[in-house]
Amino acid sequence: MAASGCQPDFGVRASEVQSLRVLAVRADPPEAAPGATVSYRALAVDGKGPRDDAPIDWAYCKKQKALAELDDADPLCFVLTADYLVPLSKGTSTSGKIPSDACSLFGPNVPPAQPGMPPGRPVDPDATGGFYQPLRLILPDPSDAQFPDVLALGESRVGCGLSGATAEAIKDFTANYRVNANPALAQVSVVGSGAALTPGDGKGAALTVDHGAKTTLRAAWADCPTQAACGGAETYVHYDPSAGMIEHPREVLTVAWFATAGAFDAESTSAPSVTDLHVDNAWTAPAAAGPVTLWVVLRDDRGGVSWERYAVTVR
Amino acid sequence: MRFGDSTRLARTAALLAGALLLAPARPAAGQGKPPAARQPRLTKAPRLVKFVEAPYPEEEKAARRAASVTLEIAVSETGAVLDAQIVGPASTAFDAAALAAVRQFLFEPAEIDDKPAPVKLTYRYDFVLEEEPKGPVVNFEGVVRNRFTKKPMAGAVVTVDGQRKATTDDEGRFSFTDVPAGKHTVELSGPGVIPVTTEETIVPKEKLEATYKVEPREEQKVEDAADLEVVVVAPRIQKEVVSTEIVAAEGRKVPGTQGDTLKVVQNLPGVARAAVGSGQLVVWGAAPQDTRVYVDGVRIPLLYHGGGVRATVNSDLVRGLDLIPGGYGPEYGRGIGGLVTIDTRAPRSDTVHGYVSADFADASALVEGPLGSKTRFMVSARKSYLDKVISAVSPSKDVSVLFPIPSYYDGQLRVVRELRENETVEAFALGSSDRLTRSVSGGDPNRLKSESTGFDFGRVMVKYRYQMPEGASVWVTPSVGRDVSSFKSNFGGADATLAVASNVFGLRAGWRSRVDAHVVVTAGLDVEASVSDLSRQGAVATPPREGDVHVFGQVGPDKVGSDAWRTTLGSVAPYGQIDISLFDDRLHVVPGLRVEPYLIAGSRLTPRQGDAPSIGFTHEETAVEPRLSVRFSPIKSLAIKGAWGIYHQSPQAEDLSAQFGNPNLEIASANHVLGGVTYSIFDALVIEAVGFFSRSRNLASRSDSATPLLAQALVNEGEGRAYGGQLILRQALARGFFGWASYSLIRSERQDHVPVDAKAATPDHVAVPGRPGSGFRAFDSDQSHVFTLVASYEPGLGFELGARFRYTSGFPRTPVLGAFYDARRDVYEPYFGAQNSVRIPSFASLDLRVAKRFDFGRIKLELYLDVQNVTNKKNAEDLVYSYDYKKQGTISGLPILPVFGARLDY
Repeated sequence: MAASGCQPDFGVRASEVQSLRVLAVRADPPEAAPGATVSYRALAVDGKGPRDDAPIDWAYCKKQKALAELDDADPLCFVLTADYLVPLSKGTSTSGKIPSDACSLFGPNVPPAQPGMPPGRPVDPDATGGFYQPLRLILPDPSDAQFPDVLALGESRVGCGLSGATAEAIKDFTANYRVNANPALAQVSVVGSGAALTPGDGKGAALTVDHGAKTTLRAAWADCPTQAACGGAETYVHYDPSAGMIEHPREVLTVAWFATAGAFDAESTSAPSVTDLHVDNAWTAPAAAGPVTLWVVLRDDRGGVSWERYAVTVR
Repeated sequence: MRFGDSTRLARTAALLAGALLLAPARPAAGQGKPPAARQPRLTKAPRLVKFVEAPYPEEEKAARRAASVTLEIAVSETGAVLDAQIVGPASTAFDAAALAAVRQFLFEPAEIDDKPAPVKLTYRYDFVLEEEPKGPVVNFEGVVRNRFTKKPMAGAVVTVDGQRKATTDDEGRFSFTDVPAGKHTVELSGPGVIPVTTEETIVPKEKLEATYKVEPREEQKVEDAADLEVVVVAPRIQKEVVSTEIVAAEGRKVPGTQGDTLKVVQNLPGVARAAVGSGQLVVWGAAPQDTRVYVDGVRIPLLYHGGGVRATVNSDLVRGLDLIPGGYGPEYGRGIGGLVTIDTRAPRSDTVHGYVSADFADASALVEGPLGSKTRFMVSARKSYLDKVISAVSPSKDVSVLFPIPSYYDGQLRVVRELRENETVEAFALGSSDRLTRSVSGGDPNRLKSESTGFDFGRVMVKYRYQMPEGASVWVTPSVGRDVSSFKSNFGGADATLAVASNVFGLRAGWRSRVDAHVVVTAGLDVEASVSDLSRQGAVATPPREGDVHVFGQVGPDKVGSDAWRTTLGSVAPYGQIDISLFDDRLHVVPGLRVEPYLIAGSRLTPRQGDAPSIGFTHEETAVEPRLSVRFSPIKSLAIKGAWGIYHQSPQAEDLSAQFGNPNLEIASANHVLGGVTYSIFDALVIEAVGFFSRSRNLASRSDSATPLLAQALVNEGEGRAYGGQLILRQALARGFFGWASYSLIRSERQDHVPVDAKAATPDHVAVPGRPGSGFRAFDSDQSHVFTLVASYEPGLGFELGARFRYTSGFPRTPVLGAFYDARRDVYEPYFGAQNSVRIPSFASLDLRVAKRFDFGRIKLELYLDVQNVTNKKNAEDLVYSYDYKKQGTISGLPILPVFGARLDY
């Protein structure tokens, strides 16, 4: 008996940067209360490298998605103008105040009631207890006739406190909760030689490899032994609604890898254990010699992100 | 066929002459005939509609002379005889008698150029002298056959009016002589027959030939294990409609069933082809969970093990299975879709028998036999190893990645004790367990896509049945059971888990009797209750339910909630049905009524909030369900049938969560209307056409609001409609050949909510074309065209050859228009066009089977090779997309799949 189903090979991978894309959106601070001012920066790239001049159209989207919608935001957020959009300035960076009603529209507070109706159901948190204000990004891409806009969703974590828990849990949570901090890449190095890659603007090559060569890279971050804000896997306060109690888990860090040429073994990697401080991924250089840009994006699971760019010369 | 009176000489017999001469009674009135004018053309011959028998002249009878008289008859444009002349005389007496009789004839008028016209014809009147019967005349004879095997039954006793008896011979035949004209009660009984009474009418001078298909006693049914037959009936209105039976001896030989008779249901008209790995039964466009499955009147939650590889009940225990797509009677309820009823057989009583069997998927065994003179037992078990086989031989992991490979086992134990003649009590226990697991590892442990499900169920029932001597029957079946299911998945979002443990109680009791020659009454009570403990964590929209817009492999949401709750669902349904037969059994009118109060109770009316104690809820709704079926057979080979009924079902316990569903969900309802015609072209060749329409309301659907009211994630706003028709041409087993060709054209649609336009405009309700709330759309499992061709032939020497061809439409899917990149989660999220507005490419597959049977006396060995998709066609099973949803492709299903199996009977 021979048994095999077949899934098509589309010939494209998420880690291959060949067209205009947004690879990450960073908020500073990564968690803030409604009304707080937050700075945002997008990692816009194409097959030639970074696109720091990308005219990204930013806006907070205050439209709630339907409860059964699988996406994180209502697709109607991706229009240029609407009364539920709060526009921000254009460019790869911007800033804005988190809408004051974010915790009732996208958080645990009672949402606005419809006329003549009792208030509806609050939004459920994510697995870390977080709530997020949607931020939509539209980046025109004249080179793509079928999809003329690059669409991206940024989400700004909103500090809304804890609702629906016991009074004791709320007290414990309020006393011990610390807002999230963005993670930080401590180092990206070559496994074996231990040579650290120098992040930069690409003017000086961080790494030189032979064409077709396979190089294992290691992304590392800091240890976070205490509950203080930290660039590694932080410990945070979380309320488990099924158990009805406060717990103190650590963040899970994930690294996404991108390259303008060559191929990574995995699109993204994360540490098997929260105590691990690095992950590895192998990159195979392209067959043709020339410059290649790598991006390494480090995310925590509470909305924090950071990235670095590395210039590689393939000989 | 006519017979003379035995007390005197035969009278005349008159025959229409073979030669019919025609001539216009008058010419075309007086017109000059132009050269181009054509001759008048007879477009319709006259037809004798009233024949008058001439008295046989006494003197000719005394002389025992026969004769023929030829006459010319002038027939008017109204069909009356204008004149008659003798053109071929016989004798004065014969001529006078014939002339007098012919002048009283009446014809259906002839037509010339499509208009009634007078004609002349020549007619020969034959006077035939019949031989006087010597001794008694047989005027009632027939044959008694096993209803299931169709084999003649020897030793059956046929009793007329409780006095005259005849016993069937080795060919099942019986006969009676000189039964007086009129109506008579005929009873069929005997050691191998469950007594049954019917009524026959003897017409003077005619012989009645009857064929009775009777239900054998249990021990008789299994006299030859090799000939065990399961009856699959689809579709039908009531028990009397038997023309669409498919016996198990056929079902086992259908390619693709791997010898599992119950799997033949998947090849019947009106049943959608299940996607590979789903095993779902979509009947007449109804949701799989809306079609109920009963074993001996006790509901079981699953007909098939995971993936549809095998039935959960060993088919060797099964005596009969009915697939009733809709319009069924009041004996069953609690389901707004179709109905599958499985009747099991009793163990054999002569000696110990059994079998062992193995193929690519599993191994099974059965042992049965007597325990003393009045007790019999049967025990069977099955265990799968398909998952291990595939992981050992598959060159790719794709099968388990895309389609979970099941691991399962089941077992049955049955003990039957005969209390006295026609009175039995039995205990029957059955259980089944399923595990399905699949996972996709992409190198990132936090992005492991995995899904695992488990489903265990067990039932224990005690069945009491008494067949009263006068033909009435009584049955009582109490039952208990337990269902335990678990589900856990993560497709890149948050973990989603659901665990359900239910205790199920049931009682089914009934009485059926012929209260009059034309009336059979059935009355009963159907009770079912379940107490379920449930817990669930994860996102509201995970797993997706029918109507959710999503694509295969889409990363789910990461917003989570949790709930733990208990529900009690129950109903007590008294029901009754009257089968009225009219016009010599040609017309059956069967009205019925089922009244069912539903109790819906739960432990939590609102989501958990801190320390706040939970508030329970209880509500009750009573459903009144009239049912009606009608069957009319104007001639023996033709049956016209129709049915109508109202059906209800309670919400599922999983949907009564305050966090994920709605504790206030009400019962859903449906109307079924169907009609059809069955015509027997030949004895074993039948064609049947059925059309249907069903409308369902109050279905649980997702709230379309962004912020629904507390505990209203689901609402009773869903509606459904399904309509279509099916055609089947079936050749029953004859001369080693059987087969059928069936075609279904079905459209099934759902509306999740009242259309947006009809709602008050609010910021919550924005009309997005094709999105939920935009009116009726195709049902997720709609399959418009289903064509199946099945054929099997036994050339001899123990060989069997079989073939199956299937063509079906693809399931509807929602097109992806584009996607946005979710930068927080590093995934692309699609946005969609009109819901279910495209389809997966159609499916076509040719399957073949060859089997060889070896007979070693008491031991029989069967080897078979079942090859699915012999052309290795890459059938699409679903649509998939590249990571950024810019490219679309399809997942192809199973390639050519040869399956070898063996079975040893003893």
